[in-house]
Amino acid sequence: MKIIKNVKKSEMFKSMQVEAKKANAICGNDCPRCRVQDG
Amino acid sequence: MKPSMFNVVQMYKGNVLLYNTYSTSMVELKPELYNCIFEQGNMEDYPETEQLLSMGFIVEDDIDEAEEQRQLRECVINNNISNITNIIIAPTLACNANCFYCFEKGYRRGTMNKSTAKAVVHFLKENWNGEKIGITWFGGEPLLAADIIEFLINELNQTGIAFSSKITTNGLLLSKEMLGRIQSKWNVEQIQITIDAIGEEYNKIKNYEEIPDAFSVVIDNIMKALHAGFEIRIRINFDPDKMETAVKTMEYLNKSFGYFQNLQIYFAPIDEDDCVVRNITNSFNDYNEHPFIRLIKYGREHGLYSGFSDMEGDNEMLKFDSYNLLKKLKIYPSPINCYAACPNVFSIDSDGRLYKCHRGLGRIEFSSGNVFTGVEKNSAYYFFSNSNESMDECKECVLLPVCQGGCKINTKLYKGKECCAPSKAIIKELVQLYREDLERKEGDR
Repeated sequence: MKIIKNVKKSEMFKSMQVEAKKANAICGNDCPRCRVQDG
Repeated sequence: MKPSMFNVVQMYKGNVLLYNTYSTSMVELKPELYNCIFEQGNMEDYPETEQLLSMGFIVEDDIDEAEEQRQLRECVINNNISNITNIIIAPTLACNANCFYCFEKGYRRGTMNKSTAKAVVHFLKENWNGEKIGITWFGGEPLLAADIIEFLINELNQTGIAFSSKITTNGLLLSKEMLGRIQSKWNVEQIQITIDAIGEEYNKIKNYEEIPDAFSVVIDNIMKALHAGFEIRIRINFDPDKMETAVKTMEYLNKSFGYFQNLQIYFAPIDEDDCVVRNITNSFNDYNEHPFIRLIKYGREHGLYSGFSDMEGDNEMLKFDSYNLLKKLKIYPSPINCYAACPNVFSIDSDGRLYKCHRGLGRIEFSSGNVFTGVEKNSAYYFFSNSNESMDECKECVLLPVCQGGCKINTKLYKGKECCAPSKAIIKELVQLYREDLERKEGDR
């Protein structure tokens, strides 16, 4: 097995939780449709 | 143990390339080993299993991965239950352009009066968090209502509400005089302008009333704004069946403005019913290459993805995406689908109505109260404000960590898969590009 990129799922989970907790609600700035601001 | 639902699996140069859309880990396995572990399920027989488990390619049997993602969304929502930190205000829904794909067509009328503007500021005073509030001036075309914006700004200043702002404009009215007004007291950090084509083709798409060569005017205005030091973001809305237009536009913009550091150019697929503009999530097997991957490759080759300041600083994701490659390829994981899910997010239309999503502006059925009487937690409110996915099938989608369930309002506005992330149809190609880019970056070190 060749590891190209090694990120532990547990580390990603922790970072996502940090992101989730500090996220300020910015509507339209990062939309799931195009991952950019709408307009 | 079982394979993760977020594994993207493909053959790559004789090996099996595995990518996990949540952990963002990537490995290559010999086909025999892949078959034994993932196809035949002999996971406990191989020493690689422990690492594959750690990287998220394999999960324990009792893990509900879709539920884990829902809990992340719930966490963002719970963190944004109190006061307003950002708001979108449409001082007018009127527009001087008539783009065929506008999500506000049929609703582009009405400009805010002073009484409503005062109520907007009073609503913000009652609901803000006491820190600097982020305002996005939206429309219609907001610069048609520059006077009411300045009235709102004066009211905000008198009330002591600190703010920064962004504008989404078509740029036609962004004259030297207007830029001076904006620069003096609007606290504008960013101006977003849409350029979908060049020359006459642009003029036809925008279909301005009584402006013979709007394209030249807008390009001249962009140049002035760039020289004035504004951060400019140019959005190219593209029709996947008219890729030459998008590519030529990118070439033109890059040639005209590419040397400015305060410029970002990006493209976004047009949202329309599938019968009007083909949805970007289609396979496009009638082309040699998927239109979206073609654009991404073009941008990648010409360095058009500079900027993305929102990913700089102390963002946690930089730990796992130090070169911003995932961001550039639009496959980075996110804890939330859309901030409209958060209780404290609203857009305000010219009549003072409140909406969870700016794409609903002007459509009363999507409103949830108004600035005079306050937020109404009605069915429209709860349609957005929850941690559910847009469609049931999202729960089984490999892209769930990226889109977190997609754009809810697009399931109502359009017939098709307009709620899905555009990367859905090309995820395997994007993973290959990511692999190549990672290898190149590591080679550069």
